[in-house]
Amino acid sequence: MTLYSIYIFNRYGDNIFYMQWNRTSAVQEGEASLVAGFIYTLQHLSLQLSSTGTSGLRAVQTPFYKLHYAETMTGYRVALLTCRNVSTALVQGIFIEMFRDVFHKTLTRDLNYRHKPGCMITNPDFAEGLEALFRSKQLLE
Amino acid sequence: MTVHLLWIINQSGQLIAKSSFTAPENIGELGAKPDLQLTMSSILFSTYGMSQELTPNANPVDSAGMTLVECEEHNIHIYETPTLVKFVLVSDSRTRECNALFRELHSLYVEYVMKNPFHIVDEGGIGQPIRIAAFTGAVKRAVDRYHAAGVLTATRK
Repeated sequence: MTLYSIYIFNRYGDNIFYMQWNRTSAVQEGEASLVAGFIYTLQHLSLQLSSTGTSGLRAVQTPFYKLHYAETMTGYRVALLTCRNVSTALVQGIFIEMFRDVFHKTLTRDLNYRHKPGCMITNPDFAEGLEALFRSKQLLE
Repeated sequence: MTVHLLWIINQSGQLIAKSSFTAPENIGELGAKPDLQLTMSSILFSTYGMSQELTPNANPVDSAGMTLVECEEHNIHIYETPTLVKFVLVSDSRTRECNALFRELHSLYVEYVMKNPFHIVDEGGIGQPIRIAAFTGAVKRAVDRYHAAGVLTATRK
């Protein structure tokens, strides 16, 4: 299984975290905004199809890659780009662990972190915790 | 194995055909407000282009757009022909792929639409909707056969 990149956005649409691993194409200018618009649009389309009004986007499959998506109640959105054969259910479970454990321990409890516009994730423990989680799930080696 | 909705989007991003196969409430707001489908189909066309741009492991010019959007209640399946016409199927979330059905729908499109001398593909740059009763009927029958095959498969398991 191959990981390409991860984006995390806050409720204001700011890209507060980016990390890449096995990516081969160049990072384009304005790409984070494109990802934000992309996932927002598909999430919106998904909600319009939903009978309950709460059902959201899980993943987008292309012949080259797969983008996994999750959103918290507080409006944090994560987009993870992987190779195409990574299970949607596996990554949804990883997202739950990421927000419950890594995010909570290294950011929610970080006195320097604020839930406000423009505040980036700068705590290096978050990136380390994230990679450790991915390694434990065999997404990274 | 249920297919709720078919869109056919031309190469300019215009919705040229839509067919519902189940009750409107199965597709939420898009069922309650059918006019919304014109807007949402062109938005889907734009996001298809975005998914090519975002490819992390190939040159965007070489990449291909999304083929499946997985949501909690639905899956959106997308099939692009070499002439850039897109077939979109909205199904329940348990339907993993629709490749055989797409190929059949593409064949019906060629037979009933492209071979129809009275069908105007494009008028002053505006794609024309498909108003061919035989095509609509054939699509319904193809999807009904697909549903029937699904029931048979489910029964056999």
